Amino acid sequence: MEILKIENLCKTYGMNDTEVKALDNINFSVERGEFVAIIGASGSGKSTLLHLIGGVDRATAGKIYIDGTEILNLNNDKMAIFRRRQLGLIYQFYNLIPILNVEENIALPCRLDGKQVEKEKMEEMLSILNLTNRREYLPNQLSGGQQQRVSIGRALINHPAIVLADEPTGNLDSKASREIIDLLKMTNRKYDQTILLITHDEKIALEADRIITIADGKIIKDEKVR
Amino acid sequence: MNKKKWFAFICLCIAVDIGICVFLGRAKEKEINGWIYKMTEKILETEDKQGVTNVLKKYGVEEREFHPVSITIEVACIGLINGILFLGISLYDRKQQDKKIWQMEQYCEEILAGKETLQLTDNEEGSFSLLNNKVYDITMLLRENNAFLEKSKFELEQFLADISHQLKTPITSLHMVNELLRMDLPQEQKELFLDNMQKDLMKIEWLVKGILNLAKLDSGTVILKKEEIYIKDLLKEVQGRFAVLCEVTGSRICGEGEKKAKLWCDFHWTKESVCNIVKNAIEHGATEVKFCWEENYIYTKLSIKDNGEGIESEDLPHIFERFYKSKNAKEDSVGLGLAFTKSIVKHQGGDIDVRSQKEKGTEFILKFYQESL
Repeated sequence: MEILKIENLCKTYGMNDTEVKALDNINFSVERGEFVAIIGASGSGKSTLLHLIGGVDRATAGKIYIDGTEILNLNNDKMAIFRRRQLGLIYQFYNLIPILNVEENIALPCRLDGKQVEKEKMEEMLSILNLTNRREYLPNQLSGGQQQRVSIGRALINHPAIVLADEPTGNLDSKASREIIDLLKMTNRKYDQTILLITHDEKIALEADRIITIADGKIIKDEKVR
Repeated sequence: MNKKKWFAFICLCIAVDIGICVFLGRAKEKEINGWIYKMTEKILETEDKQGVTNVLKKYGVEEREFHPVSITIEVACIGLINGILFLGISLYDRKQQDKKIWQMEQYCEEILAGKETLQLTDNEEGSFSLLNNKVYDITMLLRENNAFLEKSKFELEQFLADISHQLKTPITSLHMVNELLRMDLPQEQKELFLDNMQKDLMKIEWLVKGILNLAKLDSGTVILKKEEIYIKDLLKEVQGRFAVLCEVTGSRICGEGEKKAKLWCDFHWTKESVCNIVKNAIEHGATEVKFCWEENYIYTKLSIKDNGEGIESEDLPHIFERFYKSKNAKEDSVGLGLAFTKSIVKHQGGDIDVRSQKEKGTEFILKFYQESL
């Protein structure tokens, strides 16, 4: 089942002389349950791609289908709701709400929908993240790796169609990085969660099942490693 | 109806109420003015009525009978109009809800009829939208299950075809040898043929055993137990099983890792799957097979590394496939050992990976995800 489909995606910044083609005719699709890594040097366009898929930026041309919905048709309000319910976003710099504790940060997407997270579901999530003992802590009381784990919890709580991770280990030491990648891989294997991971580190990309290489806004390689 | 619409409606009601009050107020004003006129008339009975009343008329005070509308009627009026508005909006809201419910009903009917349908999610606030999303999720799940069943059926057909092909060869050979033995042949030839028969029978036995094991796993007839075992105990058992073979080939099986590292799995079947790996390693020239293990809160990892002849990179993506035999496979190998190992690991919620370098060795990495997750 195709959960993500990108057709002739283009993103251009600036005009005429200062025109920069961040993405040039990108085409690929991702099946449900795949763990895909997108690798490329700085400025290759991988972050732009993630922002377009996440709906925080609009493409100049092309189509993006997520779970059947063409997201470029959605206005800002609807995109925000779509993003809340169907996407999970993990950033390099965590982006947690500083005044909410671990449990509240994880439950945020549900609370924005007016729902409460069931107790067992929260317990299960906290135990997967190994944060049961730190549920009341604020982000500034947690280490980098722990904050990123909260971030992952927040991304997964709504069982999104696809999880987008933008250099999730960029700000972590090697042990914490290992933990985060293992955690993501586990959710992919055990819960069939589709994951799209952006990285510039080849070692991390090798953990995925499929690696797409981007350079200068174009896909130059797309191979299955597993 | 979402919060914004309700807010707008209430503002409208308040506006209407204020409008009614202003209207009634003005009517009252006229009444009171009329009363003032009458009173003024009475007071000025003897005076020049005309002049005074002209002045009053200038300011909009005219002759009128005094009939004030009672407060009760005013309140009732406002109440009634508000009531009608609220009733109207409720009926409208109800109609919208019914429309949405009808749309969902249509959607479900199309799903039941097996048609390809469009999206149901509307990306709006409110619990109805969330319900839409959940129904869509259920639809997707149904579709995926169907696709999985189709795939399973196809794979089973393939598997059965492979099995019959694999069995055909030794059975044909047995028939041939049987025919040949009926003839009058010298003793040595007979011995040769009988040896061949023995080999073929063993091959069939291995095939049937391997296939039955895989089939049992696939169909779920085998219930894998969940026991807490220490990895060092697993290692000991494996060492015991291969003690004789190791003596003969001069290889050794060793291991290192936390003494207390545990694994939740079926001891017997996991042991069998690990033994397949070790058997392959020793048969392909390994003099040392090293077990390394570690345990963290996400998984328990077991790495089995050997220094054998390694696996060709073109074979590497296929070694877990059923009946796959690489070019330098042993003659009596059936190609089911690693397929079986992978099945066991996957059925226990784990993952298996392999790395290999020609002439250097091979490493199998088994990850068993923690049960508490």
